[in-house]
Formats: sequence, C-alpha cells, structure tokens
Amino acid sequence: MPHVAKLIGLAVLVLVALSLVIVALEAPQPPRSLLLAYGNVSAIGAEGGNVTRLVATLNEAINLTEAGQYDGAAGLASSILNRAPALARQVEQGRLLEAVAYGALGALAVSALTLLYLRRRELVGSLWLRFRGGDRATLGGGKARGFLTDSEVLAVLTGLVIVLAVFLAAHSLTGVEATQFSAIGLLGPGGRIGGYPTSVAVNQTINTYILVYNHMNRPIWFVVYIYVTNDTTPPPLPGNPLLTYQRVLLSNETWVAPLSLRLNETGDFRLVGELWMYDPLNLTLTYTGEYVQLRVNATGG
Amino acid sequence: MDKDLHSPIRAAVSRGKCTTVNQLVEAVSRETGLPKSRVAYEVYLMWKRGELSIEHEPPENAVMFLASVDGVWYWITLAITLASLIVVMLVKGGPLIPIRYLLGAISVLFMPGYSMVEALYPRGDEMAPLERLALSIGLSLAVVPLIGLMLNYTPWGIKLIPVVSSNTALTIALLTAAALRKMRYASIPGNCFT
Repeated sequence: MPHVAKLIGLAVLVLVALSLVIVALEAPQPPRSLLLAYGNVSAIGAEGGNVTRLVATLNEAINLTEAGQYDGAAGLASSILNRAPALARQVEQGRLLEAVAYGALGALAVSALTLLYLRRRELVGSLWLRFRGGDRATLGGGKARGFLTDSEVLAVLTGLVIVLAVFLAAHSLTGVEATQFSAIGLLGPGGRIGGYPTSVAVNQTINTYILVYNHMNRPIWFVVYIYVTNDTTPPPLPGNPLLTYQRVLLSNETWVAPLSLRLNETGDFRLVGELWMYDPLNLTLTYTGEYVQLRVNATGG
Repeated sequence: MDKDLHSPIRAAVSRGKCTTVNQLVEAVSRETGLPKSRVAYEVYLMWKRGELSIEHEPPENAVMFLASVDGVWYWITLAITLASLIVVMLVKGGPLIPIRYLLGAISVLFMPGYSMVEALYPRGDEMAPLERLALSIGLSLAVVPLIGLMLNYTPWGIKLIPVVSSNTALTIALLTAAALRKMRYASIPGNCFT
C-alpha cells in the first residue's frame, strides 16, 4: 500500500507539472501591436472620446490571441491603430466645440437671468394681474408665505449658489479628477454576494463569479489570475496561475465572469483571484494590489 | 420694495371694501402715474408678505382647484419632479450633465421634504418661509435614507432605477396629498364671499 500511495503522489505531481506547463503555454504575451493599440484607445478614452467600438475590437483581438490566432489579432490591432489618429482629432475638436458651447450657453443663461431680474416687476406684475385680477383684496391676512419673495430665503439661496460656484470654479481651474481605482470581487453561486461554498466534496464543481470594476477614468486592460493553493503566502502568488481571465473594460464598466473549478484532493485550500492590469502609459503588466480569496475545505466523498 | 407705492395701495384697499385687484391696481396706477404691472408687482409682494389678503371664489371640487391659479404650484412642482426623473434616466454625459446634477440634487435634497412639509402644513402661513425651507431640506435628508432602507428588503435592491422611481413616486404622492389638503382650505369662503 505505501508503494501505491507513493505512485499516486508521483502521478499527481507529474499531472500538476504538466498542467503548469500547459497553462504557461496557454498564457502567451500579447502582440506588441495589440498593446500599442490598447495604449492609443485608452488615451482617447481618457480624453472623453467614445471608444466603445474600439474596446470591443480590442477584446475580440484578445480572444483571438488566447485562441492562438496571432495574425487575426495583429490585423485587428492594425485596424485600431489606423482608426485611432482620426478619432483622437475628432475628440480634440469635440472638446473645443464643447468648451465654446458651454461658454455660449453660460453667457446666454447669465444674460437671460439678468434680463429677467431687471424686468421682474413688469413680468411678474402683468402675469399676476392677468390671473388674479378678478380676485378681491382686503387689508391684513396674516404671516408671510412663499419662498422666492422672502428676503431671508433668498439670502440663504444666494449663499448656497456662491459656495457652489466657488467650488465649481476651483474644481474646473485646478482640474481635480475623480479618485481612480479598480476593484475585484467574488460573487457566490447565485451571482450575488453571499452563499459562498466553504466545504465541498472532492471533484464537486465550485460555481462562483469573478467581478471586476473599472473606475480609472479610462479604458483599462485587466488580467485576473486565479490560483488554488494550500499555503498562506500573501499575493501576488508565485508560479503560474490555474486560470487567466482578461478583458479591456470601459471607464465605469463592470465585468462579471463565471468561474467553475473542482478540487481533486482533500484539504484546506484558498481560491485566490489577483487583479493585474496593463499600465496604459508604459504598457507593462502591473499588479494592482487587489485580490479576493475564498477558503474552501475539500472533503473526501 | 417700492416704499412710495406701499401707502397708496394700503389707502386704496382701505377705501374700497373687497375691491378687485384690477380696480385696486388701476386706481393706484392712476394716482401715482406708474405702469399697472409695477403696481401689480407691489400688490403681489404685499400679499406674499401677509400685508394684504387676496380672496377668490372657493373652488367647487378638486378638478376646479387644480385647474385654477391656486393649483399652479402643484403643476410646477410635478413638472420639476418628472423632469428630474427624465433627465436622470436619459442624460448620462455630455453638455447636459450639469442639468442632471442640478435636478438630481433638487429631487433628492429638497423635493421629498418640501412635498412632506406642504402635506403637513398646507395652509402656507403656519411657519416662516425660512423655516419651511430648512424643514424641507432636513426632512429630505431623513426621508431618502428610509427609502433606501426599505428598498434594501425588496427584490429590486438599492440601484439607480428603483431609487429614482421610489423617490419620484413618494414625492408625487405627497404633493397630491398636499394639493387635496390645500383644496380644503381654499374651499372655506373668505370675508368677501361669505
């Protein structure tokens, strides 16, 4: 029996080594042209351009790369690189037009409000007379009523408007951007938070979902590495991952991908998902520092 | 406020018992030589400040009340509420985004509390306008989280569409309740119509 156990152990080791080799072969580096195309698309997206179609093409190219069809992926990357300069020019012109439109609208709004204020007596007076001319007037009546005719309310509203205007002006002058972050999450079998499996039988399928959210204010190419390990090393884990997910996400886009796997031996394991991204500026794969993990106990039978 | 107009208006109202606004404005305009619209504006301000009382025939039913000048506030607030709903749902970016911010802020930070205050104090002069404004903002801050709490226990959860829809539905319900209560007060005949 000890010989049989040793043989099984050896077989498991060989299988693990083989699977690592296969994973290593299945996770090739993307073509350089695809990375360049991604950099261009991300830059245009950061400037506010509509890159939804280009991102879809990038994801198509990534799928082709994963399938080993490098020529097809390179072709799609070239088409993106050809379209990018024209789109970048459009974005620049659009921004200019937008600034002019904002300026004109602002000037129009200020002029209209000024005119309304200066002519308020005539406008409000004639309108009110038209609708209430037949009503009866008597002296007295009680307390004040109405928001927009009360000096205290107007003072408070003016204060609010001034504070808001100063804040908006400072915001637009300093160009403060919203906080940039990305997030990874693990959802339970129902696609919601909760209901996570904690104890499973060997070879029982574990169904969960990986969630990735992009709040980097630009399209980002995310890569999720899935590991199953029984040690306590903190991420990023060494070695090749069991599974790899990758996709370019638009700004504010959430991506949920199903994750199914089986444990083929008993013990306590950690299912770890690490979030990596291709830095859009230097096009290198960078660990974001974010990960999720699920502790699972695999029992025999 | 034009102080020169204050006294002639008070004097004209005192002279004619239950004079119509048209007659009052015409008399003061003739006396002072100012345009009728200017005089009407001052009469309007004096009414809003409680110095004058303006009365009209009591409405016979809710439809007449809502179709009259007294029902204008209902249609305006309803229009703002529905405009907020449409803008928040449809405008996701572009040059109209400041309008989304403005209407979104009003519909969350003001309208729920305002409609509740109007429903609770429908007469209009129970409290000062500044108190009404402060209570409107304060009640909004109290009511909106409660909407979120209740939505958390529904299948829809706390998401944009359920939150905006619930907030709009609550505001419209409270505004309608306020309109019905205001109608009851408007149905009481004033001194000139007893």
